[in-house]
Amino acid sequence: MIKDYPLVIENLTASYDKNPVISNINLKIPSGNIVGIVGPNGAGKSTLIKSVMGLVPKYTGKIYIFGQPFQKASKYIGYMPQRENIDWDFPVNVYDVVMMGRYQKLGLFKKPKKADREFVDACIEKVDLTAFKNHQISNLSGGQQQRVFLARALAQESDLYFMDEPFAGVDAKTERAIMGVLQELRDQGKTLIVIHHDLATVKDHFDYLVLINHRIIASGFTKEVFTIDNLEKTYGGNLHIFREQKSQ
Amino acid sequence: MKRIGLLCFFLLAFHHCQAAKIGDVTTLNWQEQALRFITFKDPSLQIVILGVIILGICCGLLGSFLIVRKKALFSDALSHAVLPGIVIGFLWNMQKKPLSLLMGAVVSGLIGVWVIYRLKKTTVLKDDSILGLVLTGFYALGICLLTMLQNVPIGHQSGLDKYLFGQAAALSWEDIKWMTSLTIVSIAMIWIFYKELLVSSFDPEFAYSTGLNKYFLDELLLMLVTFTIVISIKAVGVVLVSAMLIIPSSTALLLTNRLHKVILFSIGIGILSAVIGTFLSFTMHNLPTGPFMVITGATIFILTFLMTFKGKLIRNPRS
Repeated sequence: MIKDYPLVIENLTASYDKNPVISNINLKIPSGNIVGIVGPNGAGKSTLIKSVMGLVPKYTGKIYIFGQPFQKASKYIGYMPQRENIDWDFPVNVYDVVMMGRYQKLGLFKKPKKADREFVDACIEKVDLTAFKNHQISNLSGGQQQRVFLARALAQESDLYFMDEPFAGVDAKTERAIMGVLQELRDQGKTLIVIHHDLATVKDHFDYLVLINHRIIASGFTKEVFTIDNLEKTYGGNLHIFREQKSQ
Repeated sequence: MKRIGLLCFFLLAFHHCQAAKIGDVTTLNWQEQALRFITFKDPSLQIVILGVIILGICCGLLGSFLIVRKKALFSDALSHAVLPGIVIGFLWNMQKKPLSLLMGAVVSGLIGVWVIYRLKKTTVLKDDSILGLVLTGFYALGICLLTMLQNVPIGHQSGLDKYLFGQAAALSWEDIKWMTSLTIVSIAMIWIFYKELLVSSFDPEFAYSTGLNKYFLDELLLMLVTFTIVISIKAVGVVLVSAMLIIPSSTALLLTNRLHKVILFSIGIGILSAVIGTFLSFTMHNLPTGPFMVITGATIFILTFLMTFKGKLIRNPRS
């Protein structure tokens, strides 16, 4: 049961201040899927995954990660934050950033060993950045920076991944490359929860879908949930553009 | 322009009368003074040189983290916030005991930090306004207490006014003991928690998502910076101590793009600035120690900037 549902959220309400951003969230995410979290801007997509990881401090309700609270389950979690929140002039190179993914496995007081260094090299190779291994991160393009974060998430060797807009600002080729890595992780039995905003690619990318606008509008397998009806409930009157696109 | 010139003149005159010099304790010429400095035989000089080397290490080490965490001005506010505590630490037993001054400074500095965090949390004010507010408010309070102290019979002998611009020559062996202990603690803490400090400085959200304690690392760093400021102010003064935290690490950041190298370069440049500044102050007449360390640091920064600007030193110049 616990293995079948790596993430269970019961009656979650989360807020940065007095006004809740998301309320009464109940979710059961089945394992081994690429799960899309989709909703309009300001709907609470990031707040949802941040509150799971304890990054949004105030919340009511219960969250179970593999049946345990976050404090005990953080070792099962991998996280790929948004690129915009980072100071890319920070004095680190690609290798240093990816090595950060190993820190939790290493634990306190321990320095990386040969096995860790080799694993980091393999992760960098997987996202096709070996040639940039020693480059300072500000010298990379947006797509390359996104791949550095993906490599760091791979280095975490987690069972449950949270990814905040991994396709934001990347070209189609990089999007396909990132998607390839995500599918590979899914095929290994891992669960990936991905915040996404491009409705045109939802069907191709995600096995399971959560539609959110401050509360859960619908959740379930994409082919059942990704309907015009549900999208209208999620986006309100802003969906006419999508309708037009579909009719063309 | 004329006004700026006049202002500079008054500032220099003020520095001249406030900041203490080592070179003026003897009437030797500069060659003899230089020989005395280099041979390292004079016990009072040994204390000064050892003290400024420790200061260079500590400031270079902690300054690197302040710079990469964008907290450079925070150190300036903190260094000014310790001044009232130093005076109160003296008033505690009317003696200039390093421990009571240190305790006073730490408590006062932490109150300043608490005010910064409270204002940040409860008001719409932005960082620059809050830091400016705390910096000037605490400094003004410190100056008032200091002036009042001068009017007390024993107060004018306290020599606390030297804390404004520093007096490397007044360092004692007891000061050196405190400086050494706190520097060893700082080095040990950063050695132990280096990878946690690195990841939480670069990407705090990611760091906390791995279960790292949100508050422990921030508070650890805050304590170490407070200690560094407190042990450094006797030599460089509350006004200029933040320069010793900011300048060496800023220079190091021009030279390399990996944090551990930034720290090592920063320590090296910190020591170099402190020792050369002290040497020049010692060999030439009328040159104050603290401000001259900062001028040396700034000169190293300018030279580094000019060299790196042409892309000679760094492989990947920043655009």
